Amino acid sequence: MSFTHLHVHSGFSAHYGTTSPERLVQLAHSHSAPALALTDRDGLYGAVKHIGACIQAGLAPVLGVDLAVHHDDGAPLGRVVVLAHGHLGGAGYAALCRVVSAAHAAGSKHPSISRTELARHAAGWGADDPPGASSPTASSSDAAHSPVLSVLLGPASDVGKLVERRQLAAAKNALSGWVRTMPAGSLNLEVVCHLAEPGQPGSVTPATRMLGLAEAVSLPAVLTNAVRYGQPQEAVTADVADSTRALLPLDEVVELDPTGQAWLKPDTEMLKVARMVVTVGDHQRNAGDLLGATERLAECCALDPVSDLGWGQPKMPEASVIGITGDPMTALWERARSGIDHHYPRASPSMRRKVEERLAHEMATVEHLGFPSYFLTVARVADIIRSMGIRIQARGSGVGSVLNYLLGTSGVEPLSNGLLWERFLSPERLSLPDIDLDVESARRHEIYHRLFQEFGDQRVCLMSMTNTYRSRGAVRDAGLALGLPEEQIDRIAKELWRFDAKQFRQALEEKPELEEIAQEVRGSQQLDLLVELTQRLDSLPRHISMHPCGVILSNTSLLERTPVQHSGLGLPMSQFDKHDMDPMGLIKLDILGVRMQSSMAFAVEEIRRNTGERIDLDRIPLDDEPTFQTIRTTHTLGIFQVESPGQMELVGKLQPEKFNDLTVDISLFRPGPMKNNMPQHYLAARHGYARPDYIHPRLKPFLWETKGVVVFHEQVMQILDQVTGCGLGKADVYRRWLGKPEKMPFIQDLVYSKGPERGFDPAALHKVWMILEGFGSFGFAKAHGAAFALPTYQSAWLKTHHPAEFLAGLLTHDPGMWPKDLLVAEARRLGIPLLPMDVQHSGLEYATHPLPDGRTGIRMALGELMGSTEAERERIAEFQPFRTLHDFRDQVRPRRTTFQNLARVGALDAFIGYDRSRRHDLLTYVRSMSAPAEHVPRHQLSLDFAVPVPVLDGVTALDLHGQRQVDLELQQLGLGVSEHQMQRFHPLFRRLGVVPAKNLVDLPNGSEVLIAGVRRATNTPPMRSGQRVVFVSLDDGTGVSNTVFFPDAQERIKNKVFRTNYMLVRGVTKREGARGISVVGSMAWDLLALPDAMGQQVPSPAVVVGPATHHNDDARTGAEVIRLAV
Amino acid sequence: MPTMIDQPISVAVAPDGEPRSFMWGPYEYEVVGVPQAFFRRRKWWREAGDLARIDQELWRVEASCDSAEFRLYDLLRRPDGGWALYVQWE
Repeated sequence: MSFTHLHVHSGFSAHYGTTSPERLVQLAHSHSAPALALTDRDGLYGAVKHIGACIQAGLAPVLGVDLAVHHDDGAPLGRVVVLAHGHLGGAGYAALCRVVSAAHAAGSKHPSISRTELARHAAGWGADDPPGASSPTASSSDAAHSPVLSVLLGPASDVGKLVERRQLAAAKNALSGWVRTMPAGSLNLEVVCHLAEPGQPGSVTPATRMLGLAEAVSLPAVLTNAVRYGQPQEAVTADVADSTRALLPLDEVVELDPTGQAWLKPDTEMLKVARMVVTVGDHQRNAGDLLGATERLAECCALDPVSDLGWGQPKMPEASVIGITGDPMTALWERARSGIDHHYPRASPSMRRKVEERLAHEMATVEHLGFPSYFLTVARVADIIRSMGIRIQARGSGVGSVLNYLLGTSGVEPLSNGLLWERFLSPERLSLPDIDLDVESARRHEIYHRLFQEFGDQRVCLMSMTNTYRSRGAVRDAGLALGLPEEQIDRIAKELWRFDAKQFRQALEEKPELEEIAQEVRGSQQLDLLVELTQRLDSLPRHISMHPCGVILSNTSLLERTPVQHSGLGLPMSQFDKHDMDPMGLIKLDILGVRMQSSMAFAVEEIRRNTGERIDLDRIPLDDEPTFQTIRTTHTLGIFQVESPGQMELVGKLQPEKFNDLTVDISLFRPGPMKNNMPQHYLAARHGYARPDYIHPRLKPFLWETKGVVVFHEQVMQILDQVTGCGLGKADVYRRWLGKPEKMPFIQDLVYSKGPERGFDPAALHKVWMILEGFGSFGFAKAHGAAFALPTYQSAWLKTHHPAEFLAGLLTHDPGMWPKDLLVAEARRLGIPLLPMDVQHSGLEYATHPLPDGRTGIRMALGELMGSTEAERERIAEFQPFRTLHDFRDQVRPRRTTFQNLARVGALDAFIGYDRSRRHDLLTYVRSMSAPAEHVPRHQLSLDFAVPVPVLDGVTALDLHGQRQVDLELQQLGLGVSEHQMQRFHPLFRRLGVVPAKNLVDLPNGSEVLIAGVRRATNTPPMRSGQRVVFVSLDDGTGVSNTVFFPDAQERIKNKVFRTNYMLVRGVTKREGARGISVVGSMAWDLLALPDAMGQQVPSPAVVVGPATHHNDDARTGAEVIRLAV
Repeated sequence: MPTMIDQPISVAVAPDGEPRSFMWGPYEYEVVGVPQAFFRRRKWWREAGDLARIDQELWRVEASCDSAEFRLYDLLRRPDGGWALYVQWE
């Protein structure tokens, strides 16, 4: 006897199921089940994972959905399970997809399908064919007569609910509604018994009544366990899910399951359930009949992944859609050849020959794999984007292809950069090619809409991503379930952001800043339970949302292979995520919005507006010395990829001189290479402290660029190819295997057996193997590195030659990691005039203005005014300049707060002749204008006369009293425009002997220093040692300094490491390379709470931005500071 | 009216796990008919204890120690495999 579970929820039934599809398959396999269904609520979110796991375990996969159904008049009919029939050439699966999409079509949070529509799909009629039309969409002719879907009416259906309430006549009546509507042979009654106490829902009695009903109307009955979790111990998690769904503490949730029996029971357990059900009710059928019917349905629903789902068969858009009439291969050749002259205009004959050879090589693979339409499609997309005037930049391994370069898809020349085609595509690779396109973030949605137009919405949808529980959400939901007070949960949740929920208990033990909470947990059983539940929720799916960049392009069969639902954008979104693309043969393009691209486009447009000069960033020479100088100074703020504290340090040490250095720099600054200490090895060899080791003369050509350090995937491929002669395609396969311990012996064997015959001596082979073994799956594709390096170079070029326009772009599109206040400080450091916010001049975005003195200033944007509405700002931009304050009020109709905020920050100074001392008058006057503004029709000038703001002697606006202009700016804009917010501290810094950040680089290694500033960034990167290290970047107004706190210092400083906003740090300088400088912090204090013992008058700022905490250090630490300061 | 007993007992079970008879005090009680298993959940979030199971396994059996007077009993099966006579129904 065997048993197949036909009603199974995985964790993809958000806030309902708790187990991953893979785990469920594993459990079913261990029960020796022949097949397993996955029937998640509302969608096929886990379907592809389920099928994949079933194929691997040798189980027959069954797919379905647990879905709400309604009557045509809208009355709910409960939830049912819909199962796809298999071995129908995909007709069953296609119908299932359409059913799910139809349920979501209304865009409601509670998807539901009308029974009539469900019936139409179950019969195998397409969505648009009315029943009774002449031709069914199902492929075979007999499919026209038998249904392609089965429906299970279980305890959650209208019928089941009536049965539960003993209203058998009504149940029969409800059932006849189903029988009348659904095609013959598609209906089954679902018997579920969760062994609840007699008399309760989920007990034997309703199950046995359901079976009796099936017998009375001669419908098949099947047994399921309505599974919510894999094993009994997960019942607790399901309870928490019920609490989350109900938004109520467990104590108040009415519909908790009566038992914890909804687990994936093995056949022996299900046989017991079957026996109990048939025995209690005295039925004609015995347990064997019930189980037999279940297995028969399971067999009917077993899917063939290849013929039903098109498993692993890529489906490209039809040639006609991309404007090709003939053979796609011929079309591709034509386009590629015509690209040679355009992209290699001055190439030498030998270079040209190389290009042609490489192209022929790539085209052979493309032809072999049958991918010409793919390349044409991507090129077409790139053309469309470019035709919209939007910046585009290819990224990813596709950059290694000459074909992509010739098609205009990618802008990086692969041959001169040493990029390999095989890293991207080869006959040995089983996955579909993947080209990523970076575009201007601000215009990304425009592109999506355009692609739907161009390709048709039958062929395009957006990809989704699964949002899973992170620690904060998990602790909140767990806290709610336990009924903990909200403040308590909030307080704990605030501390949980640097680790996964799964590590909660471990983190409590290890992290000094969590000590307080750890102590509470030790003393409270409830909090201990909170920790346990939080860990259980970790990584469970919560909902799906639009993937930030994935667009699926396919042929017209798309909607028969993926269900879709609404995305936030109003465009349909697949229920599948990126891991599901390859197996389902779905082609996805990553069209990623990159704010830096928007920032650069903005800068280029500003330059054109100011000077008339049109710059094509993609054509600037890549050897501009001043650009490299900028990078070498480490003033890299705002430069793509190299602006982080860690990168500032690395470029300071590395001192890039040419484009390839940027590629190397970016590739080194990755978790894998960092973990393997590659930067150190490389820098030592680059600066001549160590002799580069090229292992063997045959390997030198591939290793010289990184001084013998193996950084790039491409280098590993070259080594493998040289040593074993396996060819580059195979080499990339082997490279991927390097991360898998079970494959290592094979590669080791290969290296040692093939190496000698290819001329490598044992010593060299040993070295090679050590490198390969240590490399693992680390390292970085050089193609990625080079693709990143291009915008790095372009942004550095803009910062060097057009800093005002560039910074205005950064301020407008905010691409980086730093707060805008620091970007403003950087502009000040560069001597760029900062023009204050002014209702007469400020626009919605930042803007640059050539000034009479020849410099270019940046005008603050209206968008920064906190608390103002978009409509107010738009009216300001529309009606400026204003003749008088009254004119302003009447045209803009600002709310009181907006009006006063504008006055306070000085944006209305135009009306007091830019005499800042009169702002008291202005503010008082603005307050007196409390009468509602006169409504003036748009585009009509108000008719008042120019009334000047009256001079009001002796008036003081209290909220201006004692405030510096910078305080007001920080309050209203979050930006210090008039001066740096740290400037007030400078006298104090001088007395304490604080070293200005800009002077740090001049100090010798190991100098004891005090540094200070406002916190700009906190990083806790993964470290080689596994220790947690905290990097804090402080800005003191002269520049940014980077301090590292090791665990012993963190222990001393406690949570001030993370919480202090204005920080004073004692530490020791650590220099590396020409301009690599950082401080190893040993102690830190809150600048705003320096102990009185220091006898210092701290100029208390009127505003504190961010979560500064006020701790009083004890006198001893105060004395220490003094000792050091003296 | 149920009477709470809650005493450990030894139970003889059939190969499929169904109780056949149990010893309570000096007497052996024979189970007749089909025993019915059911589960009762506990409020695990309020009580200390193992989170591995949120429900208790109970068996409602009809049994007699003298083949004359038959009564309903609820037998509790503990996760460790031990049994208790939980409730005697009047």
